[in-house]
Amino acid sequence: MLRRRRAVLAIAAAFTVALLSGCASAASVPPSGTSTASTTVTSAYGDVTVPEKPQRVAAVSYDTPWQLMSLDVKPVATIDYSRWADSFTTAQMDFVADAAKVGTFGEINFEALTAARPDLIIGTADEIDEATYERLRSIAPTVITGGADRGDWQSISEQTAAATGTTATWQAEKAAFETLRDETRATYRDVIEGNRWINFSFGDEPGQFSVQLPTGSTGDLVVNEMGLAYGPGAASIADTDGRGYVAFPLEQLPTVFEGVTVALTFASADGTPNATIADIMNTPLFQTLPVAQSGHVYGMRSSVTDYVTAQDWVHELIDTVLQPLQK
Amino acid sequence: MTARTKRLTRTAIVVAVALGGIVLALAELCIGEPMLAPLQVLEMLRHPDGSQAAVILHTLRVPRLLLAIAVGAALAVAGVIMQALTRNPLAEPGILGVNAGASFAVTLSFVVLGIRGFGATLVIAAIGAAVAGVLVALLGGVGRSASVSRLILAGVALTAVLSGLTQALSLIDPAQYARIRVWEAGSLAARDTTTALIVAGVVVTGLVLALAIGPGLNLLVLGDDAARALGARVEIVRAIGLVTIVLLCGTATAAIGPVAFVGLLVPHAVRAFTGGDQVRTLVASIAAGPVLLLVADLIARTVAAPGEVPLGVVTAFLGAPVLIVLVNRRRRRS
Repeated sequence: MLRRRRAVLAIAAAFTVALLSGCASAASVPPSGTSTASTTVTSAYGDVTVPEKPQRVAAVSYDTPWQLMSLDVKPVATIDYSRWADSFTTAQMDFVADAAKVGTFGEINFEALTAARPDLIIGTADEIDEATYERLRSIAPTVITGGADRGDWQSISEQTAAATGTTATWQAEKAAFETLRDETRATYRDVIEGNRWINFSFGDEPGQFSVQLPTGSTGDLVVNEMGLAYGPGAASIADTDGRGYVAFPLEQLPTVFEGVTVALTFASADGTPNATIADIMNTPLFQTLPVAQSGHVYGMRSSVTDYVTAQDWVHELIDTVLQPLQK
Repeated sequence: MTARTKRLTRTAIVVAVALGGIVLALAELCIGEPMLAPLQVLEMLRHPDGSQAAVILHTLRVPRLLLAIAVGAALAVAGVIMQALTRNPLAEPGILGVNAGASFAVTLSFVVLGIRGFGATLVIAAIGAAVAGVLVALLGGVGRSASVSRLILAGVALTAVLSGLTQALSLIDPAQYARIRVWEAGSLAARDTTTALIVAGVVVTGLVLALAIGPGLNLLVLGDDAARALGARVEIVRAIGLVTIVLLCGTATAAIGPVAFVGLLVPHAVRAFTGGDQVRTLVASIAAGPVLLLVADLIARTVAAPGEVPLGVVTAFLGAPVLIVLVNRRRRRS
């Protein structure tokens, strides 16, 4: 009886040792095909040594997969986007379909992330604090990108390219965007300069609307890149909280929309109006605004995270807004 | 203090509350962006001129004022009935699980059913509040088997279960978490005139029921046996009382989200002047509830302008210290 118990204990011990060894080797052996060459890049939390050609990139912030998409880098792990599927195109959802799901927005599943065996983790500083960064870099080299403000997609995508060894691709897309931007501004100069613009959305809660400021990604593209000058009511708004937008009660619609002749807002990826924004636009007060009465309120499907999506946005602006207004 | 002095004091307080209510109501219509003069408001109420200021007044501020009055009265009166039924001055309508039921139903509708329209949310919250109230009444015992302690225990238990489920559901879906958080913080914003009128209609029905059982509540606070001996139909008064609480509190919660302290604080405050008479306390609460909610809403709208502080936060900040002062004063007196 005693001999039998010892045998069982020995087998159990051997199994445990084998299991632990397996776990250890899974965590420590680099994935096959990983280049051993490394390079040092700058990140929001200091310089980081990363593989020169990373093969298994994990994207842990909301916009990071789309920035990787613009650089032709397919991530092996992302957060779960199923709850926001309506906000993304089919191509975007297909792009992340095979990636391991390592948590959701604002809540990284570190165990799942470790199991995905990344050789590089990328996120953005507005979502990843230093404590989270410390945990991430214990799993794999981690690059946290950040720019002058929350909407500085130019710097963020540049740092993403540097971390993934795709700076040449980024430069090509940047050049293509700048050509398109300059051509568009020249071709539609009268429409662009002859109107006062605003980019608005829903607010933080019902009964509010928001204005996208140049410190946010879309606001930056609208105002800084495309030169669509805001009306006087919106131009004077300061981004006191650094969120890239400011929310207002509906009764401030006339004040904020003062002088606005063309309003841009967001639509779902399939082109249908965003339901919450439609609620705002259907209020009697919104209907009294000159821009609503002229019918110059346009929903834009594209959202901006990098130079490729910025080009998509400009193409949509031309087709949906600039060409019809020029006629 | 002589009886005449007491009467004069009460009259002065009633006049002060009434005048204060009128001033606050006018302030609710005047203050904001744009700031309107009182005479301008009165003129635009009588003759809407189609201007943006008139549209703001009629479509945003008037429904808000109506809701503040209706919900303030509803929560305060529901508190009076709850405290009378349970013979517990610390009872508040939420003990019946009504707030938790409404919150759970709204969360379920956001996360599982994907509902987003305010009208649908209102109906769903009302159903959730009613179902929770009925469940608590059934668990707490109906008819002659009913007991106050069983009712409270059932309410506390159901509230705990529903709150846990609400938390779990909101954590499952981060995309809806912000909406649920905002709804639970309470707000009078973005409710249209139709909604405000429907809510006001239901609340008036509830207030009529409450006043009808007022004399019965006066007997019920003496204890069931004494009430029966004095001719009260205890079971009927209690049943109507529970239905009225669900109607008032459920509608109020459905309309603006769960707002704390109004149902607890107002009965306490008015009882200091009305004494133990339930009918007087009910009538005074109908006036004082809206006053408290209007003060809270004016603070919510102005303290962090152009943004708004959640109404529930303001009522809690206003309510907690005032309640402590009242309780302390009562303890010193006794």
